[in-house]
Amino acid sequence: MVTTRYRRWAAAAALVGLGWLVTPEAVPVYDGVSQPDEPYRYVSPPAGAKAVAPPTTALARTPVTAGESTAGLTLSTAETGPQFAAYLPRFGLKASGASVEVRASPKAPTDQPAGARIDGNVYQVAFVDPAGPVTLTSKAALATLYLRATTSRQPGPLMEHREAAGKPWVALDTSRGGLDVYVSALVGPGDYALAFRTTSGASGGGLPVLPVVLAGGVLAALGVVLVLRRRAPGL
Amino acid sequence: MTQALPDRWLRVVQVVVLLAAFGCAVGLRVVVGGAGVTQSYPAGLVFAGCLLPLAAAARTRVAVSGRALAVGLGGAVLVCAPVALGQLLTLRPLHDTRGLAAWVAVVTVVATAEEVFLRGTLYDATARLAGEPVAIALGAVCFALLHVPLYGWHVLPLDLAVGVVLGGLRQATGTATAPAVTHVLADVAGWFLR
Repeated sequence: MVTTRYRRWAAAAALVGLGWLVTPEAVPVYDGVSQPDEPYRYVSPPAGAKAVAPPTTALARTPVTAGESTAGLTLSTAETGPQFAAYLPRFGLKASGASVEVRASPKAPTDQPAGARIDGNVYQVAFVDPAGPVTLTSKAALATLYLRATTSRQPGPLMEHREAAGKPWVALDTSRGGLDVYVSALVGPGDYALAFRTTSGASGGGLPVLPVVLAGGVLAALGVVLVLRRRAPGL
Repeated sequence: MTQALPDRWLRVVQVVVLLAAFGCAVGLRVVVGGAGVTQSYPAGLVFAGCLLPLAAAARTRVAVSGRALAVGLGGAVLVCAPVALGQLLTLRPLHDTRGLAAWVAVVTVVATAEEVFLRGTLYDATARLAGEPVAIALGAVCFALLHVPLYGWHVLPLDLAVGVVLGGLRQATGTATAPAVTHVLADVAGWFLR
């Protein structure tokens, strides 16, 4: 009896631990009203911005055996919530040394993508191995990068990437990973930034009828539950 | 046999209606909260305001006992352990208490409403129809999916796992009190552990 109880608790702990391990970034636990993020930390704050601490750098190291990184790697900056986070799967990097350091450093935007304006900082991602160059393997197709925008306004920004300063920005497939967090593939070293389109249409007002329809749905369901309860008291 | 069939269909209808209402409540929350839905107190309260009348209409009973409270406390320790461990390992400072009181009040209402509905009303209806394992699974899926519009798909694995644990607490204690205590305490701990 006692062992069964302990087994259940152990199974529950394992389940939660597993869920935590496969969730690539910290999430608000476990409910729907999350705490507000701290104000965005700019390298070069816009005029009138409140003085806050400087943005942080993300740093992580992964071991290399037989030329490939042998551990998955997550790294994120230290803000609440992180302004940069990334995940690299096991065997995602090819290198000749014993380990690879992955670093993401914030910097101020110096030039803009065509038809867009960078929101917040640019993050320069570097893979460092003193023994030689580092390349991504086919396993790195699962590598993911998260950037926090300075605002949650919609339509949201797109993730932009360029291989090095001076090269053209390229927009990446971007999805929304939270209120103001955007997700894209980590395609390699270089600069990453979020950018809002400057050639946007008028902001949509949404459908005012939708809340009424949804509220009606809840009320209708309430009515059905009440009717069912009267017809079958055992329910 | 002829008597049993309508009862079974009524139970199917009840589960389907509860799921539809839950979907509408989630949608209403997203619409009310707009782009700031994750931090919107009104949206959270509207959501709770949809779920609690449904639970009342279905005459959901939530028994409170010392054992359920203790199990709920144990559940909170369990689901907070990974976050607390991460906090310890990274030596991140605990968050300050500015704005905590209002946030705790809203979170308590929302989390309790979620548990009374998912681990009370929906659990009861599903367990009568298909058994407790299915009730646990359905509650966990609803719990995970409800967070997707707020935080994105990446929360699915963790919230699915936590949803199963919350369902397990309900099964072990026979009341939604235990998962509600776990859920509220985990949320409150989440204020500091971030």
